[in-house]
Amino acid sequence: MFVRDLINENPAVCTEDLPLEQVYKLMQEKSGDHVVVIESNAHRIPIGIVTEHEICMQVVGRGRSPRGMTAANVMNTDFVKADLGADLSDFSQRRSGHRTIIVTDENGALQGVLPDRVSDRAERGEIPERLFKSALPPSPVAAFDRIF
Amino acid sequence: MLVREIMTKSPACCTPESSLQEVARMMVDNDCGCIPVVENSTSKIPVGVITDRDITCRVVAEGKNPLDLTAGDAMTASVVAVMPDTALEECCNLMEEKQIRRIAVVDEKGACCGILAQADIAGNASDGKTAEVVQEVSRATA
Repeated sequence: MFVRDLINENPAVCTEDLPLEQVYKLMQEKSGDHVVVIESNAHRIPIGIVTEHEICMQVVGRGRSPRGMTAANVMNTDFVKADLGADLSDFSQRRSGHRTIIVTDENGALQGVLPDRVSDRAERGEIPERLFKSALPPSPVAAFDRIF
Repeated sequence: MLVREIMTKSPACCTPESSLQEVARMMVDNDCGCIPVVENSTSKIPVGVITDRDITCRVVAEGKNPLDLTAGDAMTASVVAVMPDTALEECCNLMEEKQIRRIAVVDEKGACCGILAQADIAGNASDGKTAEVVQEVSRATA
């Protein structure tokens, strides 16, 4: 199986000057947890990737306010790249520690992303309403189901 | 295969009073995106779970100041849990039914002793089982 067999050819993309609130909105619209940062709309050369995890780390982890921040402030520039024709098994080791692999052509232009091995659709399978829309109680409720 | 064989043992936990910044730091230090929220550090009874998505949503989407928020403000209050000796297949079925990517593991006293993620299953289970979990969890977006 090759990279081209599992690639998502239409990932969310933005330039590094996009305000963080808009980056996050883009992420939600595309039902994913990442946005690829490209050099420009004319030259779709990937220069970084923004994930929910990175936003959490770079903004909240550092006690910063998201206001005034852009994609450039939180993107991870240490990402793994793959060619369309690469064998998928070659990346099972390389992707260790990297959830999403950016796929480029021979000119380095973005062709898509290769989702985490658990599948990008599975990552989005978590019901959004549970996380975003449910009203949280003012104090935690110790309610859990136990299955033996 | 049992849950205990592939779960992450003794995961880092926080309390509802933990600040979001503290929780985010725990995620960095433990290289994870999910932290169980426990009643207190003694009992370790899980009362919720908080993920990097929860934190990001509250802070960026809702424009709230992370310094003013605690784990209790952002967590998902209900917890789905299994015991360590639960068969992996049963655990997978439960995750599919509940449409969740991570599940808490509790001991006989109800204390959190582990956490199992879809990624753990994908890394250790057969390809068939992994594909089944992926397919079922993906149905929510179909």
